[in-house]
Amino acid sequence: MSLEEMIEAIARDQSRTAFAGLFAHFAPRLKSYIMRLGTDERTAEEVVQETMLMVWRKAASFDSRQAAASTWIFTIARNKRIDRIRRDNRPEFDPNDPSLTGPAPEPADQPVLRRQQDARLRTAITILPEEQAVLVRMAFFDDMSHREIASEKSLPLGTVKSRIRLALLRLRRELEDLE
Amino acid sequence: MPRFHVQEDLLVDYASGSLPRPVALLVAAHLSFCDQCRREVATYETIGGAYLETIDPIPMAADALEAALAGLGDGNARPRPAPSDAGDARLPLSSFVEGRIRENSWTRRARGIEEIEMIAEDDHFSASLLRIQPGVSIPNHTHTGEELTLVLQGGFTDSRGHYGPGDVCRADADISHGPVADSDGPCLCLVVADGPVKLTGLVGRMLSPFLKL
Repeated sequence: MSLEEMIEAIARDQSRTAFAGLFAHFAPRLKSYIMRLGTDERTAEEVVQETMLMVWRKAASFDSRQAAASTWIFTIARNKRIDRIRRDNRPEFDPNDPSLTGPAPEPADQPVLRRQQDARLRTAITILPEEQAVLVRMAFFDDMSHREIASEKSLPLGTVKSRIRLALLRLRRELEDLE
Repeated sequence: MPRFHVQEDLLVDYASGSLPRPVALLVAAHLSFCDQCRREVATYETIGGAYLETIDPIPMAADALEAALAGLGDGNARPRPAPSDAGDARLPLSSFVEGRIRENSWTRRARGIEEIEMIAEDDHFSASLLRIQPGVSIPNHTHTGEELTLVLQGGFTDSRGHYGPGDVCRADADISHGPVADSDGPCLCLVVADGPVKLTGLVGRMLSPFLKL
């Protein structure tokens, strides 16, 4: 059973077996991600628990045409962590907002495409030039704004922006090649 | 579809979760108008997901799964709360914005310009809603810090063009502009600025060099 199918099994059957499978895969990764952002171990475990509970509750809203399991769970963990460190909830884009100008419906083969894109991305990330990879990692996994990265690395803000931009362009091209 | 978008680095920081809350609010509001930027954020979130797969796992406590299973309760489908009934205005981020409009009253900042503070200073940024009456112009001004203005309803024009719902107008110390609200109805904007908000409020701060407020 793929990770995506496990989420779907939770939505369909409230499958605790599928939940346990997801937990085994994601919980230690989420813990690592959250601890990298400067959270102590106990709090990190709590945020992971909250994230996985949300995965269980929101499983029905997961759409494998829109996102891979790892992407969906990453966004939940990201928001849970922000909730933890900030007073109010993060203002979140609401896909059901009636004011949305509707996106075109995605074609039926999208899940396959998403999974291919994920695989390509993971490879592409590992072969980025180090100077770009470090900055992208800081932007995504060390909770640092471009400005903070610039000051940490003693680089001009413009240099940080352009290196991250280059890296993202490369990564996006990997995705677009498949579309 | 908006013509003026938020910069790419803000979309990256939004996707990774590192934006100050006021800026995240503005980006989220823009996303609710802009399919193109939504796709871009989705790409960055995919990168975040891919990183999650490549990270070195750290084992959870021995009883973590047991505790998680015990906390699940029955069922998983929670019905979405019905959208709030907010009269005429269907605003993006309805719960956040409309709630604050309901709970707060508008404060007059200048002739034809009113403000509701949304988020007081957070990571050096603050967010306010501005309501500008039809045809009101804000005198030509520059900014001490960076300021982002998102149109929620109505529109305005400055030297760079016309801004309608979803458009983001970026201004900093290098840009001098004098926005004029559209004449066919009030213009509702979300304004995010860096630097602490002075007692005079955002518009007061913008206007003060000119009007000696």
